[in-house]
Amino acid sequence: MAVYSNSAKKRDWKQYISSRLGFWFGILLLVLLGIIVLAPLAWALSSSLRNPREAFKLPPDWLPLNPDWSNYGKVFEQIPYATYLWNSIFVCSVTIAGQLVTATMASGQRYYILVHPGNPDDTNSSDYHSCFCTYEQATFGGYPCVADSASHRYSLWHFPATSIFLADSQRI
Amino acid sequence: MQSSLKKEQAPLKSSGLFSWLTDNTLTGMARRKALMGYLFVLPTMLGLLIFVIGPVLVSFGLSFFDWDIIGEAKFVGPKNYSRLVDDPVVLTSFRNTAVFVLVAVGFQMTLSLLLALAIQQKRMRTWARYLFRSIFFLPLLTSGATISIVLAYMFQREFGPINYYLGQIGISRISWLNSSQWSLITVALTYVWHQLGFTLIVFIGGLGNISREVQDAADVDGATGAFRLWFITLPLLSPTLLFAAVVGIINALQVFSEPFVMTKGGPGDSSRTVVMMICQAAFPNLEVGYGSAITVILFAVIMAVTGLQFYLSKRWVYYQ
Repeated sequence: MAVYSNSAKKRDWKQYISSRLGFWFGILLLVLLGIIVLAPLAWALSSSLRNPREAFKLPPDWLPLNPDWSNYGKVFEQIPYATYLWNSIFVCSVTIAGQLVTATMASGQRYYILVHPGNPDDTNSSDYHSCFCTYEQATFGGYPCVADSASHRYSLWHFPATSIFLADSQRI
Repeated sequence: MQSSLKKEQAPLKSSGLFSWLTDNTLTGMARRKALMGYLFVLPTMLGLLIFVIGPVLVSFGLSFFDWDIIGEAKFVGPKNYSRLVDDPVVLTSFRNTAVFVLVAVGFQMTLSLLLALAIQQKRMRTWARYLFRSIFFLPLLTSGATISIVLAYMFQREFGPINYYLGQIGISRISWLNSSQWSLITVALTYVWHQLGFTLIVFIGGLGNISREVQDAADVDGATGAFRLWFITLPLLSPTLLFAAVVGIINALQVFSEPFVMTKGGPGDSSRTVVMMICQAAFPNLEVGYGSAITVILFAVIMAVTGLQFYLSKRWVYYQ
């Protein structure tokens, strides 16, 4: 391994070149594959702006210099595109709403916890840590945690995540 | 003070049909809490039962029947399975699917790992990371069937742009979709093109999760290049690799829309996949029992492959 080579200078030089080469090789790969990945999308987009006669011209015009917008109008004339679009939007909305409701209900309530390191009476300190956690984590052994009473090392307030704006009034 | 102490309390034990629930005791409270939990889980469980577990069981049962949707279902025992083993088209479709999975998942994993490593290089600027991530994620915004139509035009033998540009660099025309040796590869390439972004995002997440301490330690020890990749990055990425492989293989075994749109399984049966066979058995042929038998076999294959992956993962996956 290059790590144990005798000449530190030589090692640095080699490492520099190889890391630079690796970086530019990565960029080359990204750009080449990026072009390949974007090409069909670009082809579909530019085809939508061509009239049927020049649709299969080779080489294809990647940039539609004189775009033909009539295809977009025809779509709405020849098929009930607006209805189809609305159907898709409707299915999508209902699916997402149903998933959100049922999955949230099944996943259990999460509590939002604020941890205040240091003296809780020190109102100047704003060094809060916060996290979402389960009820068992938010409460130590079933009780809302008031870990500051014994030692003033840290204090914990807990409240349901949904009442996040009630933070100050729900302080225990 | 006195009056509030004297105030009548609710009885601890009540009688009635729901006394087990309404008791004002710790047990009653625990039961109420548990009931709330079950109520909250109920919609999801109902959905799973009706739309997932139910159809799976029905399909398993139907695989022992002859049923043409219109008439009566007739119990035939394991006849569908013995017919399946002798059906050359089904065997071809299983072989095609295996080849497809090897090619597609192999390309998908290798390419997206290389791309993820390239994107997550230290020297890469943040805006460039966002740019490349977005570019490779774009195909996932299109539906598989739609983009298969576009790619089928591009792969066209005579006037498709792909053959045109291959001609420019001196490669003679390949009939991507109309020859039995290329059609499956073309479908696999389309699939890889479509699915690359998902695996890439998973790998980028996995690379981001590699702990800072280990990387700093590697820096201090001077580990670079291939050594660092092989001995530090890949072992720490192995849980992510396992996840991507499992999900990728499950998805690829169920490939349907790309071959259905691009080649219709042809020429001959060279790009017919298992799910296409299932669909064909059920809908033009009205042989629901036979289709269910193929489904059950595919299910068993997917379970076996996934189980094997988890079993083998003990040897190469390293959980930190």
